[in-house]
Amino acid sequence: MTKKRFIINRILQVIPMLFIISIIAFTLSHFSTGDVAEITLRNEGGQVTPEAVDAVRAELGLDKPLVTQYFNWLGNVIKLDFGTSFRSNQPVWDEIVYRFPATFMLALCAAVLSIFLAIPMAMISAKYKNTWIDHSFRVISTGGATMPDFFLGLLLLYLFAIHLDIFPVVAGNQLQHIFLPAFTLSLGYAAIYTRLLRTNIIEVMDATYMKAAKIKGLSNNAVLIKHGLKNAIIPCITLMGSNFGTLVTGSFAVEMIFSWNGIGKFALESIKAKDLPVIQGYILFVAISFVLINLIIDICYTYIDPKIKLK
Amino acid sequence: MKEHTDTNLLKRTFSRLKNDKLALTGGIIVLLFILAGAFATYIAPHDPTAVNIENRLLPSSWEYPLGTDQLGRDVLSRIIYGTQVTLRNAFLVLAGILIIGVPMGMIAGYTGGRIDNFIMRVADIVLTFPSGILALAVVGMMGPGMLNIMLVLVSLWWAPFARVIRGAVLKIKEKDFVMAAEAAGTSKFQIIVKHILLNAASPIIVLATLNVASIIMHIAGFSFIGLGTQPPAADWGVMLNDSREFIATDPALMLWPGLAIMIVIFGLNMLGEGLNEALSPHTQKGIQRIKPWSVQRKVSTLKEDTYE
Repeated sequence: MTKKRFIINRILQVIPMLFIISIIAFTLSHFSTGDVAEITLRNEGGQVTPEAVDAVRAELGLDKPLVTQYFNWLGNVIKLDFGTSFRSNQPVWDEIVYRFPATFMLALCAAVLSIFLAIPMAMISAKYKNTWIDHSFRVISTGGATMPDFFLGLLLLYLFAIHLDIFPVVAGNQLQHIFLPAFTLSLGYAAIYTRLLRTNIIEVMDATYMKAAKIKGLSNNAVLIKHGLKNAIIPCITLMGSNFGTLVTGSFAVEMIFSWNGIGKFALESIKAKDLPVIQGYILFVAISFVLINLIIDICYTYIDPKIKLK
Repeated sequence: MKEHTDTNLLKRTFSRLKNDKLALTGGIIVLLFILAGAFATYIAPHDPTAVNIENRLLPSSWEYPLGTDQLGRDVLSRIIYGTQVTLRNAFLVLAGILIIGVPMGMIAGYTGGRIDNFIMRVADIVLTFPSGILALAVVGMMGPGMLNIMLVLVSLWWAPFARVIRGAVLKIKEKDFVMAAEAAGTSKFQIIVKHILLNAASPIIVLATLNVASIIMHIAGFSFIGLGTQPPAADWGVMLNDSREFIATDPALMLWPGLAIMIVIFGLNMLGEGLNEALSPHTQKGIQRIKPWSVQRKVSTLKEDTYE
């Protein structure tokens, strides 16, 4: 299979998922607790009479068959018209796009931080494999992987923002306050990467090119860093890539704990306010970015790792 | 192929587990939580939802070992009842996952061809679907509630089980003893149940143990963000969320439910890993590890063998 075929195949694979998501999002508007026409009328300050409701229904196309409604709706979505928020009366698209950079930055920082936490831990573990150092790192990483991020977030908030008063309690979306939420998010991932990286480094250390590098006169540490890490980290980067898609969907709990103004917190607030157009928009936006990011990463991966066989 | 008899498997597992201190500790932790949940009515010193404003935010005492919360409810009793609720919900989700996943895997493996292809395609989509998005959609349609969250988890997490069962079916389907049994007139159903379930038992047990840990993490997480169990119910996630308001003055309120979640997940994880090693020392790589909640259990689409 050529690279091109692979990429086309991957894009085709994505289509059923996007279709399912669009159906879910579309159904959402039909499950709304109140009549959409009525709510729209109320929001515009009009009198709620049966005739007026019918008129709004016709205007919104709610009297047409479901399939027609679905395609009308899909047409709007493609034009990035996600409707208007019940709460703020602003276009949903604008509201989401305004908050997305905060979530994206948080995801990026968490992803980078997790790799940078994992590299030294894994290297030390691999170097002193099966000693007490390795075992204690193993216990730490198991603890990190089993620690719920919402509890870790609360603990860090208490320790650093309240007890030690180093960070503010409300992070907002300012870049200088990103450390605590990013660290909270990264720890679980770092634990997983540490274990993966440790196994990979140990495997790589037996490779002939490592022996060759040593024979050439490089010191153990230099070989490990220059040749070992470079090869061992590839699977880790792949995993990070696939996790990044999830991170970008906005971490509800962490954004909530640190009052980080991203799309996750926004979605939760909208659920509480029953602001369905926003929830619908959020689901679409996030699902599409999730799918696209995974797609881009998979495609990049075929270029990064030549070892992958495209049969 | 030698199949393991039930008693043999149990004996072997127990003798291996006995030597694995971490797994043993995990097992004991899990057992203690199950006992606490099962006998909550007898152990809990107070009614977990009895409000008593005069006793609000008390420090720990003989009467209230872990103190009281903002409404004067006994924290220890709430934790104990929370154990009951959490474990019951987690096992219900697991049961749902098994009820869907096991038959799906069997059908896929046994029939092969187009049906197999279709089921595995669905499984692929479901595996990569972010649980948070679906949960938000379902809650948006039907309102917050633990039942809705449980439905979301069941509808997404049956897939790994289906895969394991399918793999076991495929491996055994062509074996001589199955063919012989078939030729001798044993019904297909009997063959499946007897040979395939028994052979798939080890990976299923390990997967189930680790899954319960993930389920607990998720249901607590969804309750914490307000989509799952609703207050005033005694639930770990709800308790954690309630404690946020008092984090500066009464950090202990957040500590106890958090520790309960952490310890039970740690126990299940240790037990799961121990069982994994005890039951199938050579297949360690095939088992999913528990991941932080809200982390997608993504099965990499980039395994070399998925490319064909």
